[in-house]
Amino acid sequence: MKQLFLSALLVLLVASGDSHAQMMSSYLREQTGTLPQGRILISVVGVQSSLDRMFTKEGDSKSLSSNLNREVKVNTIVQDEPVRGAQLAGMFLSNGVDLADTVGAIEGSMTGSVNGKVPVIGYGVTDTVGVYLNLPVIEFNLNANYRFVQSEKMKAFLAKLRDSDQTSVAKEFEVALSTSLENKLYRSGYEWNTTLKKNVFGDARINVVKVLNSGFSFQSQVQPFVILPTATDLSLQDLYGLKAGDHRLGVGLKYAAQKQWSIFQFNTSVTATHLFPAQQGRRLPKDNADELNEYLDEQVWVAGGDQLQGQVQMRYLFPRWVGLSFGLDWKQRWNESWSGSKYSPDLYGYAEEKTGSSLFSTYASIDLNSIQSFLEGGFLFPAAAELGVGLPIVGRNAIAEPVIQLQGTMFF
Amino acid sequence: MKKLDMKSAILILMLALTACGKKNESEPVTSTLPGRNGVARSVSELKHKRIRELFVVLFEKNFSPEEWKFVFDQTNILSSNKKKIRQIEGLDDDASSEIRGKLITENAGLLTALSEKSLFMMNWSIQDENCKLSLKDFWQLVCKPRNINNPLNGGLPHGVGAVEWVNPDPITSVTKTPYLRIRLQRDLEEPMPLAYQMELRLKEERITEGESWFKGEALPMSDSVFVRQDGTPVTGVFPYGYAELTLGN
Repeated sequence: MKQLFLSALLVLLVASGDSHAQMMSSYLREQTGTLPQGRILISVVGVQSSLDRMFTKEGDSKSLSSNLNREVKVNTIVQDEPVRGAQLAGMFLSNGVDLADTVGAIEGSMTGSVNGKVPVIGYGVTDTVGVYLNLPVIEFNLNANYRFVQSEKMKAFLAKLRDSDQTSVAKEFEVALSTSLENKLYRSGYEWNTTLKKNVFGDARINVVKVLNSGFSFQSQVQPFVILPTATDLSLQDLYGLKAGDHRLGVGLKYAAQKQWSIFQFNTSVTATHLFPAQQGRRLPKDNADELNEYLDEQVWVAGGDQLQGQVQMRYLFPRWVGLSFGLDWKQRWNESWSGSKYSPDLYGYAEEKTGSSLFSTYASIDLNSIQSFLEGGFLFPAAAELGVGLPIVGRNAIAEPVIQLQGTMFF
Repeated sequence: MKKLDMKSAILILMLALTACGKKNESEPVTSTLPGRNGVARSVSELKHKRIRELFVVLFEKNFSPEEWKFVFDQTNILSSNKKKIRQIEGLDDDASSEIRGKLITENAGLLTALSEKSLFMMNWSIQDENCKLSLKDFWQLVCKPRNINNPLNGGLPHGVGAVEWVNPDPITSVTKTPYLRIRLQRDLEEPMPLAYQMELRLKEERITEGESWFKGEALPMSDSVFVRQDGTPVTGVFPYGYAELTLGN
């Protein structure tokens, strides 16, 4: 009984896995086992992280703000205006501004956070089989601002306009430059929010845990699971592309094993996830250099995106109610495969290259539980709490920020 | 003692976790967006004003940057010359008169060069047309021609719809700053194929006593028909022309 309780509290973490689309260094402290027959588990896992730094697709850690910071050339403006481009070029040339000159720079700042709450409910079908359901609720908060800083060349150009009785033209240019980023986003079908706050559901997951070995020194289990496409917020207008889930049906299998020596536990697990193809809206780049993904196709056939995750963990158990853990976690998500009929196949190909991600991270945590005291009559309820931090080490297309995780669990 | 140690350990861990939270590396940048509804102007400020001068020029599509450069070169010199003329206005010494004469001659040459590049040019003054802002159901432009022989009368268009101040959204609108909207229409009159409607988007450039000078754009409707100098009708004009307007008493 004691062993099963101890085991069960940790299984829920398995159930509350990395359900959101943004890969982050959330950790799952492993332990094999499940609930005793007829017992219920209710838990909430809270995950919090800043969104300031992300690993790029090349693997560099980069501030989100840097996506907004960019130098603007006269040529950029001219090329961005399909109708008036030649006219604008003529105007610049007539006023001594070369097309290769710099108009100025956009300087932006972007800060944010992601807070996830993953409620989990579990039931012991038998002493060795349990069913667990979790549904992540994710809150995204983002603050963004930008300003346009004119180059000396542009200042001189505007001064020349004002000096030649073209004050209104100069004013028009100034406003156009200061709103250029938002205008570009508007034309590309994006919403610009300086303060974004949204709460969305992720994909629900049903897990079945089957204990294979339940001895003291060695335990193991398999855990098939099904991912349900419950994720909300599929808007393609979100500039930041923050998603709480893939919104695709999926299946997966996990194998976990535990070896115990005295007060040390060694845990390891491997999880494979397959997502079934689905038709979804997607943003596409207009060419290989387009980072904004200006094109939009509501009917893209999305396949692939399969995932593999492996963990190793060492846990030091204090005799009664405290455990300290240290672990390493590796996640790999392969590229998705996109196809559609709205644009050239090349564009879907460019987009596919940006979809894969990976993350190698470490974590440390402390967990407290009252199960032992409950069993000895010292506590009214068996319960557990855990506080930990995950630290990303290397990654690609993933959040490069520490993740704080807090979890509370009660058994009935 | 053991409990106290445990509390201390948790506290230390929590402090360590808090310290891991990322601090902002830079101060947030304040947006420089202008207010979208910051201007509240009424056309009644311009009541009973008459058009002293109106100049509109439209060009064909597919001009190269070099061709546009030529157009802007001409208009830049025109603007500069007009400024010089204004600066010596009121001076009746011989030198000033001579300079003014030279500038006017130069401007005439510039206008000729511009007209050769243009598809449509309209240039008239209060001597040619009597156009004033009148309040009926709304403020509108009411025109009566005085000199129908002016070759640059643009086919004598009439005002349609309301004359109004527009405060555009700088994000979503092509025109970013507030403008005075005047719509002109020329109905088809056989045998002349000229028929158009265009919107003038005019920004107040300068106000002097009794006179307001506007500069801006002329946006012809896509189904408008203009006529080349050789008499060929043309649709699909370049959608952003140039307009200048002087209002006075």
